[in-house]
Amino acid sequence: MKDTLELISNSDIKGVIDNSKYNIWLIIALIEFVIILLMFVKIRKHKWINNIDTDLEKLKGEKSNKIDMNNIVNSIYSSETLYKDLSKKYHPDRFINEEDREKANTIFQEITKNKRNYQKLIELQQLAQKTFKI
Amino acid sequence: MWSKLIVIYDWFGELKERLMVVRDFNKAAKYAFISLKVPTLIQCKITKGDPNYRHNFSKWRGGGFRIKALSGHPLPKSSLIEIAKVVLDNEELVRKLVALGWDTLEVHDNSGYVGIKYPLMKHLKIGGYLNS
Repeated sequence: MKDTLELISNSDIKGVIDNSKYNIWLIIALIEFVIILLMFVKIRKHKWINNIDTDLEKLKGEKSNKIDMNNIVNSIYSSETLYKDLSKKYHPDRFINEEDREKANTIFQEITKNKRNYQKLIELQQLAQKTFKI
Repeated sequence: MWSKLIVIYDWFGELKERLMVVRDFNKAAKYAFISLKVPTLIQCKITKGDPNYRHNFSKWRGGGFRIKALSGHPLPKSSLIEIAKVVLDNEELVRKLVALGWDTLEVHDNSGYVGIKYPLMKHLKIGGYLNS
């Protein structure tokens, strides 16, 4: 009787030991899984923060883009007279040659488009002087 | 409570940029006047603007962008309109003004009582391809 009881208790202990071993490995696997998950999340977060930083830098760059105030102030007083001069000088009707007339037409359209932009008008004047040599 | 705090923070948020735009404009006008490029000194400042022209980005009591021509004599309306048109034709500047909380463009001379004002939102050209 005693022997049988001892045998039963031994087998129970063995089963418990086996179960505890199994539990330990399960816990270790779970911990590893959690660590991997945390690392994955951290990498994703790092990438996201980097993206935000680059976006912020881009935004700051866009914000610091200064508007050419000198051009605006010059345009207020000088663009009108320059526009009148250019529109008279490079009017397409003044050119007899068909090719020159087409070129003058495109330049004239640009001049009328930018008639209140002094800087652009000066650039167009230089372009017209180069093409027609007037 | 928190929403009011956020509103106050927003109001001060772009103050530096707004002041920079005004400062740049005044500096450019001053140098152009000193170097005899322009006949009159022009100056811009922030006013409260017209409440009828307000939009969602308007700053509270800071929606007016006033350009003042220190001419010494009353300017004709045509020259005031010309000054306003130069500003309104510059799309980049108009967009920046709207984004920084301005809603009204005012042009005045220093001696006359007549001035003109334009709603900036109408000259923004948003959705141009839809309108055309």
